[in-house]
Amino acid sequence: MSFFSEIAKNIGLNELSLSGGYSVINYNGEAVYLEGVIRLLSIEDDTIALQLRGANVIVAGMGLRISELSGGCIIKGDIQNLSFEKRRKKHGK
Amino acid sequence: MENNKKLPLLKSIIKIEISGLNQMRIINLLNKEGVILLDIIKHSPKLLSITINKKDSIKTFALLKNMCYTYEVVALSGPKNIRKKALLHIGLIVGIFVFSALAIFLSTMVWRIDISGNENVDALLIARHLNNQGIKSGVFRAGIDIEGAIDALRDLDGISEGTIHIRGTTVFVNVLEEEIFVDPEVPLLPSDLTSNFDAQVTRIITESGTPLVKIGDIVARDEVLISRVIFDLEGEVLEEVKARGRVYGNVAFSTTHIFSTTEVYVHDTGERKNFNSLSIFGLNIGRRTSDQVSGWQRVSTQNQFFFIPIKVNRNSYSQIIMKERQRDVNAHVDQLIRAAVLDNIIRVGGSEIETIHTLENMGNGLLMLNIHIVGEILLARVD
Repeated sequence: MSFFSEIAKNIGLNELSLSGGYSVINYNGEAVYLEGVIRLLSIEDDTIALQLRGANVIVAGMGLRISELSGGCIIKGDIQNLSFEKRRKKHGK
Repeated sequence: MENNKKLPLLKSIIKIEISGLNQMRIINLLNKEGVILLDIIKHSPKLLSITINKKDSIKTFALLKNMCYTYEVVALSGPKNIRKKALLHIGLIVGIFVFSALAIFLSTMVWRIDISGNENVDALLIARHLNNQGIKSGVFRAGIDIEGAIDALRDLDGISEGTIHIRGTTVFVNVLEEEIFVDPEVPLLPSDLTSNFDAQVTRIITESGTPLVKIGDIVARDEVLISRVIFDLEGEVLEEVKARGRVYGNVAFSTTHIFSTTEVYVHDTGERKNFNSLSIFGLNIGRRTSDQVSGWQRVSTQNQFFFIPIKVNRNSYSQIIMKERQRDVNAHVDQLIRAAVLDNIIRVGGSEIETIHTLENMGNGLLMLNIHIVGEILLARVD
């Protein structure tokens, strides 16, 4: 069982639903790791916006830069704010 | 937003600058295609830089071309790039390689032969003998037959044993010389004791033979002092022996010297010049100095590197000039008298020395010194 799955289990979250979601880890305000990235929405020196599975996230701060973007994303800099906006799931007619 | 971080040297990565609008579109497309994007930097709304792995470069360039983006590779790193930078200093690299190869090659040869343990046998003779056995400068160490050379050393007159070992590029030879024995059983041939000088006999000490002179006799050079013949009481020849003993006598020597009242001496002006040069295999490398120091006195030192035939020569030159001054006549006369006594009397074991000298002025700055020496010396001796 992975580290994040272990935490999820301990806090009573459904592991199956988590597999289609996202995770964000803030390392002391110096770096942020995001999992479940779908695409990059915008990139500036003070804000970076990404679309994740189930939410959009805006990372705000100073001197931000994307250190790596593959399956996950690593953003480094002076991270001052993380804001999330849940996206509604589309329902079929 | 600027990123001045240098690319890691050994990772094969490429930094690309992409010109065009809709930068998010290309980033998301590359990400969707599985290209790992590193260090995404937005320089301006139309200029973006990304860093990718070299293995993704073909896919990335193809996508950029298809999407009509203009791009430029601005930096490369990785082993291939190192090779490219190395080629810029190819001369230095080749030089280092050649020097290293030469040093390694030369270290497989002998460049010095160190001979020790010899007192009576000349080192040059030993070296020549070793030369005939193939041990000399410039030969390969592996080709030296040490056992054969040691056997050959034993064949050399005066050498009883020897050891040879090689350390680095030096062959160390240590010899043990034969002891010289005098066979006491060999009989001495009969002979007379004769005088080596013209003299007046003062003392006679006879150990064997018959003395033919007495104290006060005037003898000439080569005159028999002690005869080998032993007579009986009736004057008949009893036997012939080797005459042995010591005979002393008074001798007189005269010598004349003419010298000037002025003398020329060497004066060091205090000026100095230093030059360094390098010699490889005995060939000097460095600027010619002989024209600059003509007439100067040279003191040289040499330092040799132990394993390779390269020497550093340090030449120091002192400027000297010849000057004339008034001679100290009394000191010079004493010096000449001492030399005359030493050469004629002391050298032959003389004593009881008396000297008489006269000094005459011959004009034109010249003086004539007459020295008369009388002393008792050993005329002949056989123990």
